[in-house]
This record gives sequence, structure tokens and C-alpha cells, in this order.
Amino acid sequence: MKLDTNFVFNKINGIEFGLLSPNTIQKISAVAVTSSELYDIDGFPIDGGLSDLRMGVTDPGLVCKTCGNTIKDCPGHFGSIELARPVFNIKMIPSIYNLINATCNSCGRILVPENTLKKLSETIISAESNEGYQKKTKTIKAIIKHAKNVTICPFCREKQQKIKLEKPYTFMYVGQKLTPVDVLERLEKIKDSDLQFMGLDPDHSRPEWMIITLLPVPPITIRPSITLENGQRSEDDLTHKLTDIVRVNQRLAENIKSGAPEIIIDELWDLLQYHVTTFISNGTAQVPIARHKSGKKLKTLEDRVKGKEGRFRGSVLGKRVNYGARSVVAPDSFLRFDEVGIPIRIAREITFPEYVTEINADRVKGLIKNFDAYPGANYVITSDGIKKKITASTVENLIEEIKPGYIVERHLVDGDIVLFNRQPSLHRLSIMGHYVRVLPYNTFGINPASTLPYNADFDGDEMNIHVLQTEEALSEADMIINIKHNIVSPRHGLPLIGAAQDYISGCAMLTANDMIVDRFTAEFLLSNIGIETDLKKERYSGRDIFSMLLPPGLTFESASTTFKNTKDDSNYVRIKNGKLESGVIDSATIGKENGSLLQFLFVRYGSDVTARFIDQADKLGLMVLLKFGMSVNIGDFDIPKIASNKIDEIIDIGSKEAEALLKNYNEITEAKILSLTNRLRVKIRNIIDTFIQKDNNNVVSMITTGAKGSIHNLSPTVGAVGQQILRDVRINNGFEGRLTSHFKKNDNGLKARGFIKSNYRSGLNPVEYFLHSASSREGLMDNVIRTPISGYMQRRLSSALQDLRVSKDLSVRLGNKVVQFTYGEDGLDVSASDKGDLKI
Amino acid sequence: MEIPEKYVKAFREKHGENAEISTLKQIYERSLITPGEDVGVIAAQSIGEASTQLTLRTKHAAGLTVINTTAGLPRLVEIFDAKKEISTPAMDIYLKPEYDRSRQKVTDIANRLIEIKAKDLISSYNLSLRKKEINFLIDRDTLKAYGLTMRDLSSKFSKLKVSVKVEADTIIVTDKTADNVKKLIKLRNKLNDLSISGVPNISRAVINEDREGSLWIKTSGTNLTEVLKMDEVDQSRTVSNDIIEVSKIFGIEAARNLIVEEVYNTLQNVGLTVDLRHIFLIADAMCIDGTVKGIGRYGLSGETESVFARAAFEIPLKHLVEASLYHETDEFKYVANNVMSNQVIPIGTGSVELVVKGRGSESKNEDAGENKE
Repeated sequence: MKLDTNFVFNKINGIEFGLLSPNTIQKISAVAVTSSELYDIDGFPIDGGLSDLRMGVTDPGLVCKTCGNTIKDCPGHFGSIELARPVFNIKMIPSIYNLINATCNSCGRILVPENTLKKLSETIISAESNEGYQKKTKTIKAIIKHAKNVTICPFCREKQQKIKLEKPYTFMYVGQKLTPVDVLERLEKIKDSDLQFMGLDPDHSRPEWMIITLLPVPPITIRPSITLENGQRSEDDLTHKLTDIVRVNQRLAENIKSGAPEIIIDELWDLLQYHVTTFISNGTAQVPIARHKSGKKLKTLEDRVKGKEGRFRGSVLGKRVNYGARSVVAPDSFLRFDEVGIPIRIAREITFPEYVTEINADRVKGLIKNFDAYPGANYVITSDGIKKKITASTVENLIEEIKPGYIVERHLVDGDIVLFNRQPSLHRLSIMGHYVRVLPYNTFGINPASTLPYNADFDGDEMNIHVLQTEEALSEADMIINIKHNIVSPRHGLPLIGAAQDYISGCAMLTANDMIVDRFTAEFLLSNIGIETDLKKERYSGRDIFSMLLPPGLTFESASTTFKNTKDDSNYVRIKNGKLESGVIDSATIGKENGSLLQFLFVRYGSDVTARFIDQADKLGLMVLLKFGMSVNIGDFDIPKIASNKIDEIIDIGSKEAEALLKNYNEITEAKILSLTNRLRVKIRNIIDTFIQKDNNNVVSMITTGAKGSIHNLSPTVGAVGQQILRDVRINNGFEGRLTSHFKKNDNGLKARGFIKSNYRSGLNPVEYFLHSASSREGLMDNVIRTPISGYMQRRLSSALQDLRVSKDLSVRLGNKVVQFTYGEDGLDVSASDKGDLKI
Repeated sequence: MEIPEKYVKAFREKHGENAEISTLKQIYERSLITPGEDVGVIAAQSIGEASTQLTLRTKHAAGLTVINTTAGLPRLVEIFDAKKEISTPAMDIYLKPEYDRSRQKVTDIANRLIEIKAKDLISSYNLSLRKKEINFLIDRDTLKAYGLTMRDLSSKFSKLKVSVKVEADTIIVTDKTADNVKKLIKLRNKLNDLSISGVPNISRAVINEDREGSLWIKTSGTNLTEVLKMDEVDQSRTVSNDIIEVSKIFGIEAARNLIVEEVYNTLQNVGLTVDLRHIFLIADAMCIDGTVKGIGRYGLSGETESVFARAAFEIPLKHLVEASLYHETDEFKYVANNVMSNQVIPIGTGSVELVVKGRGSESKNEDAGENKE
């Protein structure tokens, strides 16, 4: 990397748009293209051909005849083709149509009376200065629309005939075709002073410039020819198109010169028009598409700009990067949640450029010396910007040479910050800063606590890292988008990072009412989470242990999930002065998208305290389970005989009820049966809730603590799966009059229309299984079509709102327009306050 | 920023009248949004990310007693598009206190709301090209059930500039100008769709009861203009779910509130929480110039000041051509164009610049730093 002094470090403040006048084109044109041949016999570009060296160079070794630079530095230069006859620019057709119809056919003045014009002029100016250019465009469009329908010219009193547009590019005036020359004449007649009423600017967009007389030829640099393996040259689509234009133009010129019959000239003229049209846009309605010999569509100017892969969305907004890596992610509970495990292979490949100073010189020299191992360095950049690779032969010299001002591209080491990302990047929490932990595997390691914001799981998901290359970027990664500063989501003010599953089970087990641990166990737990204290007592309650994680002086109260499920007051979380006095620590306090304690800590104690707390609490939960164990067995899903009898009974009664309803079938019967099946499901659920063995049942304990699962999962597993629904009704399509051949025709009873009596534990019979699959497939299909719809909605939302920002007075502004006088009506930040409120 | 009264009050209640207010000030300032924050994108992402979890299909509440409205993702898209014709227009009609307790009275009002078209009353018809007339056989029972008479019907028919005769159960319509079958059929269709009684566009009305026992009516189809004219209707609470209609009748503020409410409820119904601030922001942006604008190509996104931002969003060539005709200037003070040109975006840390003090005597020019704000 050479820090080039030729670069101009300036800021673009704006870009002006306008039409190119033939004069301007002449001025920027480096060459008049006259030959349709590209190269001479020696394969050297012909002067005046489309590969003329004055338009730039694409071959290494050649020198541009205009700027004298080689391929690396020559920006390319425009050429031009003098057209024998003018042609329309296809993209300007609608504007030309408006202009020639809004102006007089004989005198060329706008068809609006003189005195109105004065007023209009003021309206346009005030519209632009007061309400912006949108309003101005609207006013102008209204003027044009009005002028188009005027029948008598207010200036010369001439009666006006409408000019018709025959798509794609033929204008008809009183049954006569208007050639581009005729139209050009009319457009030239329009007075400069009238242009403002049609939105044009005489200095930047004279109407006659809409017709092409001198065609600009894009530089070769944007249409490079490539040399195939067999040495043959293959030209760019644009060059192909331009060759056509030059060839037809030449023939047209010759024919005009030799005085050929009108018909032949017109035909060639039309052909020229066609080629110029497809040069600009290949795909205009009613214009035949220009193709390669192979039938492939030629990629022309418009195609380069348009669409997702076009210049805008593809090149200039979507950027490609170096210093990135991608790999499969795997869970690693022994990492902190704000770390990411990076394979050593990756850490040696992607580097961070470290400036050499007097302070770090020795360390950096050590890294250079260690270039073939880890941690080492890959490149040295001298103060002149010359990049040197560190190899066995250069290492000695480089260590000698190194001095402050040099940059050393060193390997990643523990504690560096990298950006971590998983696609689709739906919200800003899809890219966050993580600290590096270099590990000897091939996958990225990530603590399960931080999977939710990325929506990652470990079934093969891949994620990306990006290593920042400047100190400024690094400090923003550390201070703004570091994951620990983004524990609480700005969407709803709840923590997205926290405990899940076994972490919760562990913490809940430890903080249960009668949990006592001996000193040895306490030592084991605390040493593993990195807490050092003198344990004086022989026995500790679980809550004592947990209290050691809490910041001193913390006072906090909240309902736990266990409390919500058991209504036992001893499960209500009460923390006084940094001590957990009562309550079970579970999902409602430390869980993901739930934990009230995490949110409380984050807002009041800051991200560092919260981050440490989350890591310690999670690890503690893990260690508790490691020490005490937790398992489930099939017996946990047992329900007493009375309960299963009751469920059978409920289904029986339900079936009879359904039959009764079916006897008197009308349009609301189906709805009634559907609500009946819903009632059955609730009843079954309630029975299971009442009868399932609660003590010593880890399945139930997972549900009550909110670690995983709910009664909605348990009910179909031990009770009955229930009604399968397809398109909002009971499954109804299959054979004639029945779903499958297992049923009688016109049997509309519960079972025959997708009510599943069995449960997952006992297993579904084949018919039930089939119907269950039909219902679940609907969910899958739904998901597939939903994704693009919501993706497009988000793109539109972002595009509409991307420029809104909070000003210093907390108002939200879009440019100079005020959207809100105070953000969110009270100026509060959702993630920095108590979910948009202040709890004092 | 002044601390809002409610927090001061809550603080005084908890810590006593003489408590040091600076503690509260600290809490308040800590909770404020950071200037420069790109709240628009945060709002868009909050809604967008949540919407990936929305249901596509509306869950149909069963039965004739409920009016189904579009829900989930389709409804959200519809709101943000500011569609002129929404898929399931509906109204919540509240009645004045003297009416809303009596089920009899409310049923009466509800029945009067439902639009009855001629075709609901016609049991059969026949055309005669020779006589240039159409004979409609009217179903007497239905007519009675709706409390209408043949005279009501014939007077409505005669408004279409045709001669109308009533003979027993038949209405004979003669149109002298009809010289072919096509014209007669066109006339028949026109008569069929004629609104005979009730409020146009309202196809169903269902009575609901709130917790206090007051009755209110939910209708399928909306027509605020007509309904608000009814004496029994409480104009202050009656509302439609059609945002454009509400903006025309109640004004832009009402439309803005309706957007907030509809978006919030749509998300709430699926169990998604999105902070109101984000919805406020989108609603405010949609209503920024006094009319409700959608967020898409023909709304906010298509009207941004920056040519490049518009071109990058959709149909780039159209925007570029227009920009060059109108001699527009794209000022690089927006996000999209600065991203394109690899410049710092004027958002967040990019919206401020660093002021560095020189050393010792060189620091005369202390305020030299340029501040963009």
C-alpha cells in the first residue's frame, strides 16, 4: 500500500445534474470516432476507432495518448461520434413529448398567457424556496398538464394541433411523422425565459440537448476488452453496440452524401435510432431487444445502473472488504459472552496494523521475529508507505529497519476487538464488537448467552468477523457497538443477552428455597466463576452464594417466573443491600428477552457491571448443574391413570358434541366445531397442569423456571395433540368427501377431519401423522413467503427513515424539516431508561 | 431539558419534599437519547426485525358474531403503504349514553346501518328488448323484514332517469333510450347495485359490549361521513380503521394517532413488543407535510431530497433523468450519498467533529474547529 500523494483529500459537498450539450460533449471528447474497426492487423488499436488510445488504456504496457498514464492511473477519456442525422434519446421521449405539446406549434412559446406567466414564475420560486423541490416539481407538472390542453396559442393566435406519440419513439403531427430534425427545430424555438415553467434551466438543460446530435462515447476503461485464453479478444457489450452505431452512421453519411433515395436514408436513420436506443436502454417496451449471436441479451447502459446488482445497489452502496473471515459457529460456554473464539489459522491470516512507537518497539520486533509462528506479524509498512512481506530472508533486515512511524501488520491476539456479524443483518445488533480469544479450533466460538441478537444457533450457522484497521474505528467498536453496551435492545428495552436453558435451571436450582451447600461446594462454585472470598461458614444457602455476584448495595424487587407459576410468595425475588433475601433467580430476572434484573443493572450500574454479572451468573448456573446434575426421563412425562381417563372422556364428550352440531349443518357449524376443539385443547391442558407430577420432575421444573418449554409443549406430548388446522379451518381437502380412504365418505366428525387423539409420547398413527405433517408444512410455507415480504417492508422503512436523526435539542429532523419536536415525545432513550420510563 | 412534572412528583413522593433534585436530574439525563442518534433506522429496524416474526395469514376468529379485519404482516404493510383502499375497512361506532345500554335500540341502529342494495330484494327479473323494459320481481318478505315498501324501491329506481311502474310484486322499468340488450343489461346491473337504504359501503354490523356494559357497534365497511351525521352516534369516539378516510374527516393528527394505534395493536396481537417511540416516529414521518404519505416508492422513499438516495432505492434511471432535466443538486448531507462516496455519514459520531487545542502559544485559534451542528 503506497500512500499516494496524488490523492486529493477533499470532501464532496454536492453533485449537480444537467444535460450534456453538444458543445460540452465536444469539449470533453478526446477523439472523434469514425471507424468501426477496432484494431489493425497487428492487433494495435486504430486511430479513430472505438479502442483509440486517446480514450484510455486497458492493456498493461500501453500508455494513454491523452493523459500519458498507464492502465493503473489513466481514468479514461470520452470520445464522440458525430451523428449524420440526429436521433432521440429514448429516456427523454416523455419529456420531449410534454415540451412540444406544451409549446406553440408555430411560434414555440409556452401555451400560457403572458400575464399568468408572471404570477407562475413567482409561485415556482416561492414553492422551491419554501417547500422544497418536490413542491416545485408538482407545480411544474401541473403547468405542463394545463398547457398541453390549450387549443389556441395566446401569443400568435395559432390554432394548436396535438402531437401524438406513437411508442416507442415516433411523433405524429397532423398525420405526418416528425423526424428528430423537425422536433429539434421546434425545441430550439422555445425561448429561454419560457423554460423555467417547464422545470428546465437554460444553462444546464436546453431542450434541444435532449436530442442526440453528437453521441458521447464512454471511455474504454468502463468497457474493457478481455483477452481470452486462445488469444482472441472479446469486446464488451457496450463496444459491440457502439460498433453498430458507428457502422450505421457511416452508411447513413455516405448515402446522404451520394444523394440516395429518401426511403433508404429513412431506413438507415431508423436503424441508427434503434441502435442508439438499445445502446442506452435495452428493454424498452416495443423496441426489439438487441442480442448477441448466441441470443444472450446485450448488457447496456441502463442495465449497468439498474437493480440489485446494478451500480447503485450493487457497487456503490454495497461494499466488499478485506480483513474479514467467515466460519461455522460453535457454542463455547467457557468464553465470556463478549468474546468470540477465533481459530488460530484465522488469527494468523487477518491482521491489525499497529503503529510502531518507542513504547511498543520491542514487542513489535518480537512479533516480527516470530513471523512464522503465533503470535507474529505478516507485513511491515514503512513510513513511506511501502509494504514489505516478512519472510525468512527479510526478517533480519526488517527488525533492523523498524522505527517509530512504521506500521506492522500483526496477528490478532486476545483482547483485540473485532466485529462479529450474522446475516440477515435485520437490526443493528446483528453486528457487534467482540473481544478476540484465539483458540485452536476451526470454528468461531460464541457463548450461547449472546446468540439471541444474532438469531444464531449451532446447526451449521456461519458467521463473519471483520477486523478494524484504524484506531478511530477500533475505539468506536469498543465504546459504542461493543456487545456489552448493547445488552438491552433499543426495540423494547429488554435485555437480549442473558441466561437461557441450563444456565437458568442451574441458577434456579441454586436459589431454590431449601438449597444449602457445604463449604467445599461453595468453594468449587465460586472459584469457577472467579470470585475470591474467605469462606468462614461451613454451610451456605444457595442464595448466599448468588448474592456474592450482586453489586453491593443493590436493592431490587421483582416477580420471578417461578412465582408467577406457583404463586408462592417465597419465590418472589427480593434483593436488599446486595443480598438476595428471598426468591428464585430464573427467567424473569436473568433470562433473555425477559430478565428484569439485567435491565435494572444495565441502566443503573452500566454495561461493565452487567456484563460481569451475566457472565458470572451464567457460569454459576452451569457449575451448579455440573455439580448436582440434572436429567429427565420418560417417567417425568407420566400422568396418573385418572388423568388419562379424564382426557379420553373429554375427547369422547367432545366428539359427541361435534356430532350433534353436525346433524344440523349450516355455515357456522365449522366455526363452532373449531371453537369446540379449542375448548377441548384447553381442557386437556388444564388436566395435565393439575395432574402432572410436580415435585422432583425436571421437565416441570424447566417449565416453572422458564428455562425451556411450556405447558403448550407438554400438553401434546402427554395429553392429546388436538385439532390440526389448515388455512384457518379443519383440514378439508383430500379425496372426494373425505380426507383419506381411512374414513367414510361425508364423515365430518372430529377424527375424520384432523383431530389427533394421540400424543407424541404414545405416538401418532399413520393417518394422524400425515395430517399433522400437512398442518406443519403450512407453517413452513408461510415462513418462506413471509421472509421477502417483511424484508421489502424493512427496506422501504429504512430508506424512508435513514436520514432522521436527533439534534442537540432532542428534536428529530429530516434535513431541515422537523419530524418531532422531542424524540418520542419525552426524549427518553428506550435502552437507557426503564423501557422508556423512569422508575425512581 | 426540563424534567417532566410526573417524574419530579414521583421523586418528591419517594424521597420527600426537600430531597436534592440533582439526583433525579442525573437519572433523567442518563436516560435521554443521545443527540446524533439515527433514530429513524432504529425505528425501521425495530419494526422490521419484529415483522419477520409476524404471521402472514390472518387468524380468523370463528363465527358470524365477529368481524374479521386484516392482521399480521399484510396489515402492517397496508398501513405503511398508506393504501387508499384497505382490504378490510371497519368502523367502531360508539353511541351516545342515552342509547348505548339498550340492546333493542342498538340493534335498531345497527340494522339501519347495513346497506341494502336492490339486488338483496329482487328475487328474479326478465328483460324485454321489444318493450325496452325490465321486470323485477320483488321478494315481499325480505322487503318487509327490512322495513321497506315498494314505494321506497320505485322512488329510488326513478332517480336513474327511467320510467318506473309498480304492478303488484313487480317493478317495471322502461328505458326509451335502450336500443340493444347490452344497454339493458347495463341498466339492470346499475339498478341491482342501487343502494336502497342504510349507509353505503357498510355490509355488516355486529354489536359488542364493553366491560362497563355499554354497547358499541363494529361494522364491516366504513363510511364516516354518513355515520357521523346520525344523531345517536357519539362523534368523539367513533372511528374507522381506514387511515386515509380518518385523515380526511378528522384531520392529520387523528390519522397519525390511528397509525400509531393500528401498528401497535397489530404487533401486540401477535405478542410482539415494540416501544411506542418507534411507532410514533414512523407515524410522524408519514404525516410530516399534512397528508398521509406511504413509505414506499410513491411516498417518503421516493421523495427524499437526495437524488442518489432516491436512485439507490428504486428505478434509478428515472430519477437520474429527472434530476438532470430539472438541474437538481444532490447535497451530500444525507446518509446514502455519503456511503456511496465513502465519506463519513452525518449521523452519530459522524455528525460531530473533533476540536483539538494546539500547544502553548499556538492555541490562539481555540475555536477554530468546525462544528457541523
